[in-house]
Amino acid sequence: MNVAGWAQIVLFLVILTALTPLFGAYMARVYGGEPIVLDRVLGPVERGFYRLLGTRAEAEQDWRGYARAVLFFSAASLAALYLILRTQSIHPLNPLNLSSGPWDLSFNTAASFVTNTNWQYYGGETTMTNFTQMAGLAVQNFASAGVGIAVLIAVVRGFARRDGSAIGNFWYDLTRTILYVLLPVCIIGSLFLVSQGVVQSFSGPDTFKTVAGGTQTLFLGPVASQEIIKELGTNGGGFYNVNASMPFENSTTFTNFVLMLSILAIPAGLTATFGRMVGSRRQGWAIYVAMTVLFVAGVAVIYAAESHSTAAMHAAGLVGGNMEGKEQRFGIGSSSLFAAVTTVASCGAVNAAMESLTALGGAIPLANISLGEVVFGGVGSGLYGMLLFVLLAVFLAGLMVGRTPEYLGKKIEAREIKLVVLGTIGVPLLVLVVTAVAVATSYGKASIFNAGPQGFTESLYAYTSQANNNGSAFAGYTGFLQPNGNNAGSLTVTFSQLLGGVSMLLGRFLPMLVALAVAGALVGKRVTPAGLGTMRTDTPVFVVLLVGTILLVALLTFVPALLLGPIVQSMTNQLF
Amino acid sequence: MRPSRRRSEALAMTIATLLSWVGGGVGGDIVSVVLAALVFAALWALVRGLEHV
Repeated sequence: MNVAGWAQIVLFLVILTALTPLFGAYMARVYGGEPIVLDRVLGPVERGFYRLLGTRAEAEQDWRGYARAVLFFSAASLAALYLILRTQSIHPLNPLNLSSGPWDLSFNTAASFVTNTNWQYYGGETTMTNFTQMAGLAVQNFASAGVGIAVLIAVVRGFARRDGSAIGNFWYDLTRTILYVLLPVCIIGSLFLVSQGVVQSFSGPDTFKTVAGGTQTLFLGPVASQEIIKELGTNGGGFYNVNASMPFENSTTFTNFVLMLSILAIPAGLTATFGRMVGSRRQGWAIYVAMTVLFVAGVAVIYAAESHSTAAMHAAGLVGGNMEGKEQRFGIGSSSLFAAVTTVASCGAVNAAMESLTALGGAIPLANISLGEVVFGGVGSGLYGMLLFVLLAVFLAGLMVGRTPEYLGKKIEAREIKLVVLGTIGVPLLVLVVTAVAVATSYGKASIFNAGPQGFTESLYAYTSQANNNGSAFAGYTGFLQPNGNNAGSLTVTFSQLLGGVSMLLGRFLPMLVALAVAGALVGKRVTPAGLGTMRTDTPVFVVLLVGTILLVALLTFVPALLLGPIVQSMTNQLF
Repeated sequence: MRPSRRRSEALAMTIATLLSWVGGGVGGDIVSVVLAALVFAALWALVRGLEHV
């Protein structure tokens, strides 16, 4: 550890905290229908979309209608992306003459990008054509991020409104998210990345002479335009197999810093949007602080762990920090911060090899994901997941003091708590069941590369990451082998592809539907004025209670599994 | 050549072309479609189920 590393972490937090109210205020205006600068340019486009969809902005839906629109749109997106993946051999922009993807890889990939997971069993530059990257994967990066944010806004309306049953119009929220939030930032961000040397080209692969005198073929493509939405939308799927550790994707320490900020900018900003929409900015800040506490704790542990050598390094007589799998350009501090940012945010982009982290350092990303991706989390999905935990914390506090729990003046009753329990333990149960299936069957074992606790951790990480829609991976776990390149002769582990695909779909939509149902249950409730006996939810005491609730649920669910993997490994002298 | 035979040959050619586009594994495509349909049908049913929680 050094001062520069800590200074970068502090600077990151300061800038993120400064950006939060700015982004939050802007997004509150976008969803409140207030005038914004971009109206003049994008207004006609927006109205054109509504005409095309046959909807009107003021035609609002109840939670069931909203949920069905989400499912319809996502199913159609899945079908469209699957079709693109399966027919990519005949598409334009295919300089490598790549064949279409195998059916099971296509299913997994389509599920992955539609659910904002971006788990990748393939290497991007050797498997996907430029057309697939742009018209398939990047489009879903926008669409899936848009769905997450739209659902959150609908859920927040459930908390903010005081009568009726409507929580908004899905098509209106989705269109405004993509047009007014994601696109403008991505256009500016792409130009910034290109200015820093990130590749944006259709020219195909190029051969370079290396410093040592040899030659090397490097793949070029439309990288910058995909890179920015990949981070901003917390998608995470890289154009290149090595993701943001590739200089063509993440060229300098400056781009690295900006990319990390862009991962958390919207999830953090949405806490401020929430505060504004419910009429109390302090409520938004309380959630932001709870998220930040958990985030900082994770960063500190990873940085401390990676600053020490591993058992293998000891055996080799090496001292110093663990630089295995890390870019010299970024070093330990920046790699640790990136690992924490990408796993609290359900992004999954990486600038270092997660597999090469120390046992304890690797346990934190796994633990971050295991918290349910609510510490900032995915765009939209993180905050609606966190709001379920807020209701659980309010309920626990109500039990302790013997009062009817309420949040933002609305009574939290049996129906809401039943839904909250479904929403908070559904995905953890899914993770544990599919991991058990994956490690206990011969079909699942085909994907495990390493033996012992590392192999178990790879499996646990794979399904925790997929079901929680993160997308980062411990590299040893595989479902796709491409011996000849060009997708020719590729072999897949069908079991892992399908199990992962189904896990991503259920892990995405189960909490989403529950959150919408909670919004539907709350939207028509009357607001009771705060009295002397009302527990405040915008104070440090509540932040502590909320953090404790999240940790309690995660610990009770995942500690036994973590013990079998990274924790037991950190107590042994295994050389990997 | 009889019209019905021409149609059969055209159909066979079309299927062969489609298979070359996707690189085989049409049986797998059916599995994918059925699996996705089952998952979304379950989620659709869940919306109704959550009303009764």
